[in-house]
Amino acid sequence: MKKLDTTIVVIDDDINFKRDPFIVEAREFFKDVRFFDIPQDAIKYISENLEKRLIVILDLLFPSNEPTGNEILKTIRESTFLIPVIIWSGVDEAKWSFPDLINNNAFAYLKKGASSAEIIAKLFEANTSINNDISSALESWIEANSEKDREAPYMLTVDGRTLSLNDILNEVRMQTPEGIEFSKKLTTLTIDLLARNKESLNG
Amino acid sequence: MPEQPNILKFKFDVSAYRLIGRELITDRITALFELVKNSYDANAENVLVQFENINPNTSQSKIIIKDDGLGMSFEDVRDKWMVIGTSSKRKSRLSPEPYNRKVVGKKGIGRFAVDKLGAKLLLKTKQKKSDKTLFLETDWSFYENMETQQLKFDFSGKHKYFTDMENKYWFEDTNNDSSGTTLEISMVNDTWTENDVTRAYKELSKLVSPVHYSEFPFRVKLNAHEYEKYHDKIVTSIAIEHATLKVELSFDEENAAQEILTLTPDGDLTKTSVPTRPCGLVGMTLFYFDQKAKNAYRNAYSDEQIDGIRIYRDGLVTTPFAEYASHQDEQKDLLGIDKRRWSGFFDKISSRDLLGWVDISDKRNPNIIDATNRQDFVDNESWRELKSFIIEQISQIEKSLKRKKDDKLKNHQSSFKDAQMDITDLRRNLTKAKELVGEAPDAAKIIDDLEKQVIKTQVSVKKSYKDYQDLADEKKRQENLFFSIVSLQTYAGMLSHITRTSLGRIKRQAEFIHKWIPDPKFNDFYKEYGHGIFNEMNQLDKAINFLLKYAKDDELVEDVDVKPVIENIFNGIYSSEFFRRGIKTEIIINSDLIITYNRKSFEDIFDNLISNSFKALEKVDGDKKIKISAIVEQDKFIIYFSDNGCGVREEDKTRIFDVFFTRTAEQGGAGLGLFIVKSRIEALNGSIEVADNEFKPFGATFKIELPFKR
Repeated sequence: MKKLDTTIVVIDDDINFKRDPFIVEAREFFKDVRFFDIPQDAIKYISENLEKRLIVILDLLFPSNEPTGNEILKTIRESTFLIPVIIWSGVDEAKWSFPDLINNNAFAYLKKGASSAEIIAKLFEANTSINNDISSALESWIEANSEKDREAPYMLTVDGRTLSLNDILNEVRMQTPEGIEFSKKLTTLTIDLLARNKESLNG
Repeated sequence: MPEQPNILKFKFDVSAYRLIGRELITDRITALFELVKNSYDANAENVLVQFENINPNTSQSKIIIKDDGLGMSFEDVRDKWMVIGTSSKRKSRLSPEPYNRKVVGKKGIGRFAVDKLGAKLLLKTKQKKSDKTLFLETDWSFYENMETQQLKFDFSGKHKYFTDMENKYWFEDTNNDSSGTTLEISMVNDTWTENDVTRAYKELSKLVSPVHYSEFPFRVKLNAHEYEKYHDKIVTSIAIEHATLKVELSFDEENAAQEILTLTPDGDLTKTSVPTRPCGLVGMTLFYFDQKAKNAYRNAYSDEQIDGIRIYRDGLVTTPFAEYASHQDEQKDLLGIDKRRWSGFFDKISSRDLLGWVDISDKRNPNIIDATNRQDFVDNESWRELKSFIIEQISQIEKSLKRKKDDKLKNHQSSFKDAQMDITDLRRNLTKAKELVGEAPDAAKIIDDLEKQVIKTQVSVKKSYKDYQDLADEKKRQENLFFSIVSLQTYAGMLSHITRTSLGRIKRQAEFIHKWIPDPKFNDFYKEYGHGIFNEMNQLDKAINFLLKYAKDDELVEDVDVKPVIENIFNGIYSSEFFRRGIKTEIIINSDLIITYNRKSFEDIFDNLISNSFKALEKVDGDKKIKISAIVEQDKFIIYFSDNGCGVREEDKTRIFDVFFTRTAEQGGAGLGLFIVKSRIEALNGSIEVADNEFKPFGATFKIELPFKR
């Protein structure tokens, strides 16, 4: 079976998970599975690899001198909203704060007691969501352009701002109103073109 | 044929200034704040903020901000001040030599803050070398009128743009070598009530550090003649007259030495010099307020709150601490002072008992960086170490306070005892007096009466003392009970976490074997996971046993003979393990102590300390040693437990007992062992701390104190 071109990033302070069966099994399906026990290293890796297809599995409870999962998610969301982040934890749900996890667009919540099959299924779900998400498609398309093209002015907004592809990419990643609007308009345009047989979905 | 292309240019509508000024600077206090920051960036040492006739608001009302900074040349005004969006600050992070202040003004928009305060600005500026003062007049009201008109009429073609607006400037001779910039704002927008001025004062007082170690001071003076409180008022941080405790920590740059707080044997706070911490050298001033002091403070400064610790860089507040939060609850606990929920529940100081400032500098602490969102600091090692440095000092204060509280209780007890003794003496003296008086009947009668009274008093004092002691014992019992309930809760939380994690792992390992066996490509994993399942089961077993033991704590309290118990652990239970690991042990216990406690729980303390040492000794090549010694000091049984392993990092000394804190995750450490040790010892009213290590240069020594009654 051909492996999926997606990198799984697992962030957990418990080093024992490095050789957990779900990680071994995930390697059967995904091109790269990386384990980080130090959150800062993971954040650094993510920020340097935004152009890759990434899915993050994130623990919540870290030693008292480290940021919590909530804080790590917040940091990831400071650079992109397009990476699915699966929360995975053994905390007492009654005593943990979840609203900000939801606000920061956590993809799913898994208990530490989950089976590998459940975890892998969730990873596939996340992978599909990347495939189906117009914003992610847009991201891949922009990433495919050369750095020079991406820096060049690309479009003019109604209020007179010039945006380069990189600017658009940033708006899309941050899911700002402009970014969402842009994705929406592009979808409308695509549907319109398809409907009027101006374009086809081949290729 | 294609036509010659025509050219169109962008233009700014007059409303642009409003977008920039009013949208970016949200309120007038922030506006004032930004303008004073500009003075700081211009190397000013003195800034005067003057309100003239600002209540009621009339055509005479003015706000003047005057500094003695570098001033601007004509070119500066033309090419920088008058050009929107430029900011020389963007090119250089530091203000000119020799000040080298870290530039704090927002990017090129500070000047628009003026619009938030008033409609007309007269700017006067002079540089030191120049003999002329430059005046520039900007009338925003004119711009505003233009805007209103443009909304009304169609100017087709005659539209005036922002960049077409004309601003008058002129020079006046000034023959001295002064320098600086004055912003005179008239046509003031709002009335400034005394409350508004107070709010401005309060915000400005947070801008300047009360103490800082720079050779270039930054002083702000505020003047509002309408209000008695604000006649030439120097803006200082609130005077701290009511604090219960004041602590000042400094550093020695030359010798790279940092002062930290430590405790004397009597529990007093003292300063000790240690090598520079990973966050760099910092100065720190801290005030602690107990309830009484807080009340006094509140009475004195009704509009001021005790609201924690702020960080200042080179004498100016860092941006995450400068963001204005109208209510205390909205302020973020950037330092994590109130977040320490895992490390215990009693005797913890909260940020509302503290006022303080931490002094950092660009030079000494280059890696403490304000995050771009202005709400936090960049999360890196330096910032984390700075946080733990601050928490470490606070926990030393907590420890000292607890000691003082305990001592006070003891003093009460002993003065009660003294009173009893005094009465006994009095009775004895009376008996003597009676003998001396002899047959004089009147005197003997008086003495008899006195004696009766004394006996009565003696009885009631005795009874009160007994009541007092019963009460103290009862309180202690309750505290103990409360303690064990609280730590049981913490433990139950931990246990469910561990169980869930462990069960998940077992499940996945079994699942893996079940799914893939006999596929030979995973042969190594079948073995590993089989072993893994066995280990996890053992862990679970241990955790459950521990909980059961906990549950039995109250049932099985017995007299535990400390010496034989320790000897049994070392020479019996662990002897073969010590041998296997090549560890030499030494036990020096000359006195004995009998405590009333659960034997297993007591053994737990040493189980955990030994297992902690095993991890610390794992990577030691030469001799491996564990030593335990005990001495009696006054009414304390003191145990020293030492090994010559990898030791405890200086910066970990206070957090090593926190639950889930571990540096040995790779060796299976879960951050439970030392937490359990600490809870066990505290349940015995004892204490544990990291002491000076016995086996120098390597190793760790724990000092355990167990109080007892003779």
